Amino acid sequence: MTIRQPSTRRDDPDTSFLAPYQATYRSNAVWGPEPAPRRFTSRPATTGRSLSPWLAIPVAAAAVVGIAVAAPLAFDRTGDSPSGAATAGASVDASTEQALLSEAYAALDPFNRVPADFDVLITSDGEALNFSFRYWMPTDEADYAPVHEAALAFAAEHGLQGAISEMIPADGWGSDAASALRQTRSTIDTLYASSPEAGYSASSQFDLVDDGPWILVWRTTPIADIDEAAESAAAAAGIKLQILDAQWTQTQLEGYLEENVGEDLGGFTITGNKMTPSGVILWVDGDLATAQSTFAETPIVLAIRPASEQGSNVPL
Amino acid sequence: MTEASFEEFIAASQPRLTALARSISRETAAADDLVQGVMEQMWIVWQKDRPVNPHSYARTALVRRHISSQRRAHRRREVLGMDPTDVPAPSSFDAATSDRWMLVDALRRLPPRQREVVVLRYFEDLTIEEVADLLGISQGAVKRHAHRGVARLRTILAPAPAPTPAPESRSASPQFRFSP
Repeated sequence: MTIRQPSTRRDDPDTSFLAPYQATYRSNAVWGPEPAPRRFTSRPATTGRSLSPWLAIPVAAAAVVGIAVAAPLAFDRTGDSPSGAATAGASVDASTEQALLSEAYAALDPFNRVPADFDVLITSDGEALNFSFRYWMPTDEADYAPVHEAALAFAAEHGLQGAISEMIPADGWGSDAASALRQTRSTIDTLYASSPEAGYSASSQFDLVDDGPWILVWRTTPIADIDEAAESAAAAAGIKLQILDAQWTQTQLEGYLEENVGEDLGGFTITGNKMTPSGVILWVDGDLATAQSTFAETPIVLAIRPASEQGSNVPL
Repeated sequence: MTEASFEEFIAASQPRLTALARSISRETAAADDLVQGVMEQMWIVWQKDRPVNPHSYARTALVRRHISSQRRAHRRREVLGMDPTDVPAPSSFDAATSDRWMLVDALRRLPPRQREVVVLRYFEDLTIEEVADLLGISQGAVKRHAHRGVARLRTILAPAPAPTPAPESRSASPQFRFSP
């Protein structure tokens, strides 16, 4: 690989210690346990029929290259968990992949009602088929176990080298609630996006077992029609909606933190932050007085707290 | 022909994009999603009007997708450190693998913007101007984040203090460290 040298490094620190890591970074061989797919198979058109609406756009795009993708907007997951499986020894071709992909969806589609999302990726390196099945489920273990088993069974039945991933389910939640939350959130996003002057940010909350799903909206400029439309959409879906007047959007707060919060600020270190509609609260370790004076003239910083009082916060 | 050329592009660029994605993202799965999303985008672009420099185009698309996903990060719980499944079995370590995991682990300890700047500047070899343009920040901010990021990386990647010499052996190589 040809590595282009930067035009200038006059302003750069000494990075000689990075040399071995740069060499590693540029080595294609060390990234990813599996060989790069040589072929992207086509996802059968019929598989989109039972997918939920929020998958429509990614599926439409994925249909071209055969990757079913649904971004897990609101849920955690644990990452890939390679499962040991047999490897098909025979060479395969595109039609074989296509057929298997169709079968995979046929086998797993019935479960789409349960998981929030799933996607199946079958690739071939010319010798073996790799099967990847991922799902994100806001439900309990009893519900997703059959899906997991079905995926494993499919991989085993077809001699696929499989990788099954799963997502941490939100406690006590069913997929209907998660689906409603996503769809409502999308509707509200679209509503406010039509009026950028509203200064909108929103957050979906989904892990309150007793209280159910709700959406928190911040906007700097109230626009009655949009607020009312958002409330109607939420009410129709059974989602609680809270709309707050804000001085700052979350995007502004996040941008401030990313741009301005350093590691060592001279006498104190910021150990955490919390965003509120009125500004950001910072927790600091070290000289509290210095920290407070440092941010005294910074309106976006709402408060400075000692690290010892730090509770729930977003790590920097 | 189009498909064949796209496959060639994937074969050449996917590992590089994976390296970039896993280095600027704190989650392996999210990084892989980034790459996958970019590949979809590239295929659509490919059929319409193939970019003059497809890898550069894909890299830009990936970074912008990453930034966009970061802005949605408040919807998701932060995953600190490495995914448990990211950690290879010690017995499988060779030098390159060890360096790779040490690098990813170290990068993930940097604040997001520092991480992005360091990766783009020193691993993707973009100029300060290019990094600033790609991230939508000033060149001064790039320099500031670069200095802080490199300083912190130097600390993280520094070889661990030599243990008390044992009569029979002593390890001089940096030890892989994993933050839970």
